[in-house]
Amino acid sequence: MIIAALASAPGKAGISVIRLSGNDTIKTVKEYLSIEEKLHEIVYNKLYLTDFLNEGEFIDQVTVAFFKEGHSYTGEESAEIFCHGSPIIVRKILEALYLEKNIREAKPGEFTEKRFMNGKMDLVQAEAVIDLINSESDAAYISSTEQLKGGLSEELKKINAMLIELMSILELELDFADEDLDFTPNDEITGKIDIAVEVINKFIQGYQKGRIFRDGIKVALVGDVNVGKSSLMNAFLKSDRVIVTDIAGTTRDVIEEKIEVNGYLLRIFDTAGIRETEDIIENEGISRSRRIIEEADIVLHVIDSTDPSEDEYAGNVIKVYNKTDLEDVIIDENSVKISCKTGSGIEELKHKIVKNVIDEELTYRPYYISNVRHLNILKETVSQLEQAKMSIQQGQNNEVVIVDMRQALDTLGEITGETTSMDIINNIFGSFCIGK
Amino acid sequence: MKKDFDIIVVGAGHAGVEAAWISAQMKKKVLLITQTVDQIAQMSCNPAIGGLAKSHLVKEIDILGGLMGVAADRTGIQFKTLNLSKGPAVWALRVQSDKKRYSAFVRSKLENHKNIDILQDEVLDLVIKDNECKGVKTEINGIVHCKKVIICSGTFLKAVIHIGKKQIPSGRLGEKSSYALSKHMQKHGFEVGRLKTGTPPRIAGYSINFEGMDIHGSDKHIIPFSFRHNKAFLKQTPCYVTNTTKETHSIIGSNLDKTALFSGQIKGTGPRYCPSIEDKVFRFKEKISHRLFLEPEGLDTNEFYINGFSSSLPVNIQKKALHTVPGMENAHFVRPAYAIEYDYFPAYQIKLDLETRKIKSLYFAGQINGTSGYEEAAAQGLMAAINAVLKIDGKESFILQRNEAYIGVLIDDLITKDIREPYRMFTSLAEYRLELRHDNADSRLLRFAKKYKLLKRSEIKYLESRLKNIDELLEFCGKKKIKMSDLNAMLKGLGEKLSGEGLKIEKFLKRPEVSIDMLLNNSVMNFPEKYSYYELKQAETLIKYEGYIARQQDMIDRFKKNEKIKLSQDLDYSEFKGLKNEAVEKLNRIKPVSIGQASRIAGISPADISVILVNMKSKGLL
Repeated sequence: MIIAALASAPGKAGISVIRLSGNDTIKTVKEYLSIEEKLHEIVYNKLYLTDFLNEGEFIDQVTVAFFKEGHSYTGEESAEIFCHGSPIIVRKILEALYLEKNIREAKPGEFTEKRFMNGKMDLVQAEAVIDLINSESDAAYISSTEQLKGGLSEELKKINAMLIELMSILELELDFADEDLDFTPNDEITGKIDIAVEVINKFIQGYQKGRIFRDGIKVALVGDVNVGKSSLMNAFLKSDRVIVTDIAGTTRDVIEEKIEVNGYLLRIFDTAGIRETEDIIENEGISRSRRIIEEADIVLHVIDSTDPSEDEYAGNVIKVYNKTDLEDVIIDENSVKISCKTGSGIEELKHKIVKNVIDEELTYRPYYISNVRHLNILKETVSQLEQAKMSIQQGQNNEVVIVDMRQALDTLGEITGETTSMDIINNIFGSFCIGK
Repeated sequence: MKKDFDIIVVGAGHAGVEAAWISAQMKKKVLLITQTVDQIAQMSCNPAIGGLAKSHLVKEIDILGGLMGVAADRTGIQFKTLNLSKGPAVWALRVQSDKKRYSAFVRSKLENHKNIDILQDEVLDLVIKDNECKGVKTEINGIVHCKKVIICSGTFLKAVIHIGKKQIPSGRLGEKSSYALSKHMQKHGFEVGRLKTGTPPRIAGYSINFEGMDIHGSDKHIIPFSFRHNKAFLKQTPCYVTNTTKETHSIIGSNLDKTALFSGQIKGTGPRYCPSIEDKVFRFKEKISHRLFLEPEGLDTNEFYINGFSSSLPVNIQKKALHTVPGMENAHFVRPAYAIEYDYFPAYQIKLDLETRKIKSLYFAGQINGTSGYEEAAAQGLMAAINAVLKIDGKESFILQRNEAYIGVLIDDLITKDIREPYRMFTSLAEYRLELRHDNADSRLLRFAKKYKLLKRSEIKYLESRLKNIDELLEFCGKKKIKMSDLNAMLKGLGEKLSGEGLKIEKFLKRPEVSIDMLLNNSVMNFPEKYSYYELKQAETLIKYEGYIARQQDMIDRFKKNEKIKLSQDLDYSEFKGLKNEAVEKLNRIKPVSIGQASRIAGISPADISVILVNMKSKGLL
């Protein structure tokens, strides 16, 4: 079965790309084209300028490239049709293709899934493609392309190698006890475990930033009713997105909007002002607000300068004094003066948010993992390594310490692929003088 | 030959003798063919059986009715338990055996078995009809028919010995190489490969000055291989230890080009775990000295085996180099060190029951499959023969899993991992090592011995009662408490004081620093008399490892899940959509029996496994 779908963004564009993949793609697609070459004369990776015809009816002038099995994005025999970027042309071409018994519509992500299945990329890279397609900011783009290039896989392979070395040291003493070798003392082994744990922890800690690269910074707007939270939202967006009135309790649900600052995505949540109320709808809004505040990377506590509140919020908080066009206030370094009405201080606030959450330029580090699956595996690996260390410190013998180490390797293998016993033995042969 | 046999075993090395023995025990008529009857069960290299991981194999062979453990015990002149400072899962026994007596003992066992005939002849070819092996063609006796053939050719196929530039066609120094069989096997469609191994020189004892050398004697308390024995049978004799010197290394270093290996004369792949002395000098330049063990070849001979000095250097350089080693200044070389190259058949060509894929009723065991070592060979000989017998009787084959026995690990590795260097058993190759201890082969394998009638009824009864006693002891230890006063008296030495109401034996034994011997030596606990020391130690081990064994059991359960997803032998992986060509080629070659085995094939990635599963699902095979 051949799968086909629009590979570029939907809607009007200069060019749209339709991708097909599967056995006999070239033979099947050729039926629609006015190419004169016979099937065996087709040259791969070359752009053919040709007409796309549906039962003889001209649809569009297109360029088409053919890819050989093993040399395409999916790893299968493939074709890419570049047509004029009109939704109508795209629809007509796809409709014509889907009429063919052999061809069906590709499911979302199916091309990438095939690429992964055909061994053209590892799981980590496949996950990155999904992120890349979904990226909404420069930061998200950078993090997913880095991961796609195999940067993360490479880093994890290094950790894998560290664990293999540790296993080898432990195994060496068991399998070659009668050899004339210097074995590694326990404190040196636990030292090596510490180093491995430290490296993995860097990744675990990097998750916080990796997540921000990928998903953006969660900003919660909180404060008393009628201090101007929704006005601030509109000021960020430079539009009248949210209804603003003088009536307290106007915003009843949480409203999310996105802006980009310095390449980072800011996800701003306007919350219902928290107050005691009998209104069922407003109460539900308030409880949602509380949840958002808990999950936020940063909380903007909006304060009415003409009537400053004494409330304090826990966590990472910036106090935002609004309405400073009406009354000036004295502020500390964790605070910003703004006026939603005049727009003063808004730009400063945006940058302060980014600086507060991720204190650096848009520089991606390989250990900024962003995938929660990776995070959990790494955490599990660390706990198994800590267990191994504990076993050593309790005076357990290598053969049981290895049970812990083996589990750590198996766990990590869920990201990097399996480590076999043969890998460990090979490492031993490579590093030590074995054989009486 | 008029007489028809059930099974013909070709070769009477360690694989061949086990194959012949167990087939005969299983009531089949066996013909054992060897080029030299005087060399039955010859120890071609070191005069020892067992060692790390290998002793696990011997223990398993012993429970499965094999000869090796019994023969090593009966002819053992030194018994040593290795790794005693570590936990019992990696303890291992090494027995120095008297070579001549070992061979004689096994030969007499075979000669006296009513189901075995021994024949001195050379097998030149196989009798094959419709892809099935029906017998062998010999040099002197012509064609002999049988139902199954097991080839245990050792290092003899197209064997060439290298000593410096000198090349001698020979399967063991002084013995004829076998050319015809290998040639004909290739004609029958088998892929052949070339391996290399080596052996050190044998030195006359009278020419060695043992003064000042370290002496390694037998253990005080000897625990033999076989469950039938509890003592040594022969006079115990020590080994000696000396070390190479700077001069040794400089002589070897300046003559590297003269070795058969470095000059490129040898094409076969050698074992990395058993490097020649020149290999060690070359690869580990920072090591200024290597240890040499001087092992006696037997009680009636003066020859010493120089463990650690295997070489393919010309004999005059070997001499010059060894003479720089303390105590060896006047060493007289009875036999030189040499390297040997031989044909083997990469093991993807056999199935897990050791029958070849290509030709039915033909089995391979031992070095022909690319292993090295007596124990590895014996294990395969035993398994090939049991399976050949089962096949004759129309029964299902006997495949040991990786979590059941080292033998299972060995055979699975050989076939699945596509190993292209001589394979040796290591404990690290067994993922479930805590389960596969050398002291619990009975609890793992007794049910198979019973099922296939590999042991005498009385022996099975004895082993069963032993296992029952261990179960009882575990219960005892889980109930009975040690008095606090006794406990503190014992722990005094460890600078610890406990308080409370006494401690269950089980709890006490879980502490890494204590042993059951502390209870026995201090007469703290009176265990019922019927329990042997062996049984007490077994119970102790189980208690100590309990938590870890439980965790390992999780891993085993996961492993079993994948082993249970069976893959048919008829699958054509080229029909599987989305598999890389390389993966298709490997899968079609090895034909894994399960997803588990497929995942262990070198070069098959987790992604490939998902592709296989998806394809199986879409084909309705899952």
